[in-house]
Amino acid sequence: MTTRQETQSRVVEAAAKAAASTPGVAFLRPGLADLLRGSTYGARGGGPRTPGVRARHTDVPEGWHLQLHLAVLRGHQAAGVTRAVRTSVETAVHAALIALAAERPDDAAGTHGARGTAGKAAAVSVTVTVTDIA
Amino acid sequence: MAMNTDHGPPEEDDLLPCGHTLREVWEAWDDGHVPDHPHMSRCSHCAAALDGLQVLDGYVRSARTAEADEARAAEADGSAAAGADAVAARVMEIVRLELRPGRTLPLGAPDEDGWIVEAAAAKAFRSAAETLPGVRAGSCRILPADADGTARRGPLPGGTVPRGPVSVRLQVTGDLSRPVPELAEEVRARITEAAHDDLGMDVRSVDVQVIDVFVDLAMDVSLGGSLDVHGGGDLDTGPGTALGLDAGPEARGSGSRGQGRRGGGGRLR
Repeated sequence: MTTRQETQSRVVEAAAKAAASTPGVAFLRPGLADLLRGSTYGARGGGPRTPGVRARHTDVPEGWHLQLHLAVLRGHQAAGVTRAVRTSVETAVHAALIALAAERPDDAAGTHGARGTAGKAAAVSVTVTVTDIA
Repeated sequence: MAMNTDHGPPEEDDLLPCGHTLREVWEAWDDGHVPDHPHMSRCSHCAAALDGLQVLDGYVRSARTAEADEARAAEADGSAAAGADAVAARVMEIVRLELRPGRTLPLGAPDEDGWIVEAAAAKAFRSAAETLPGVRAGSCRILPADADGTARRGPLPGGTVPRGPVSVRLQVTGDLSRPVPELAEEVRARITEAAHDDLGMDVRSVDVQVIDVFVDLAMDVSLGGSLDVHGGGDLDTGPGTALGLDAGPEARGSGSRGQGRRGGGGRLR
């Protein structure tokens, strides 16, 4: 059975991959916590983390909200990059959730966040914050 | 779908598995309360986070020590000092951006959910100003602005500026290759251009403060004892009109006396 945590992991991975491949993105920026986890939790077997991406399940609307922190490449307009990242991430996460829901028909009620209430597609919203221009 | 378009990205501290945040652990440690804290003194998650913070603190202290050593031995090994400088700069950059990123400012249209931290936007504006010959940029503040471009008091540092236009205040120093009002106008134009082309930020006014001027003493320049532009009175540099924005007309200049520089004591507006 797919747990909420597993769904979150798939959501984060899909978002990170989509964001990192968006033109104008220099890199996803790890926060201090990511850096510290890299030297503490990782060493304790906590598994790798995806820097710069946080996913939070939301009840209203039923779905996921993602926060991304990234650096923009010089020569690209920052607002244009954030716009492209949001579109790209929303599309990628929607696709990941649909694929996950297809893999797990037992989660028809959406209790693990792969789909919304009554089988409707889960809502996906994305906030992008530029932390540097590299 | 856009969320939080009115209030910006939600504040979400890094949550440890135990439910406490990194910020709480840091503050408790800084205040010396961890040993007496009923939870943190026994929690493995808090202890692990604290270990990481102490490693970071160790880096900072080492870097500071290296810097002090460098100051005492000016002719010491340059590469080692440079390495310490690099560590210090990196550590402080992480800490500053993570804990003191400045305000979070809106990017793009009002209904979008794109943001930029003030430190990054200020860096872009300073770089834009310094593309002008003889201009060095200093402090840069970015504040929420009213529709007419008037800067107004925003949230405290670290807060999120509501979506809408902003006002830029930049301090610069410049040489005297052109009159101060012209210098201010050129800087204002570069900032406005960068706001549009590099950031996509709705900047309604740009206030440029010329806080110092530099004179090439080899040049035969006579200042008449002061910046004899308006003799210490206020000088209105005229409205900034780049991109059709209602740019705020402000340029202040104050000179200082010293080697390699000369200026007048007037305040130019």
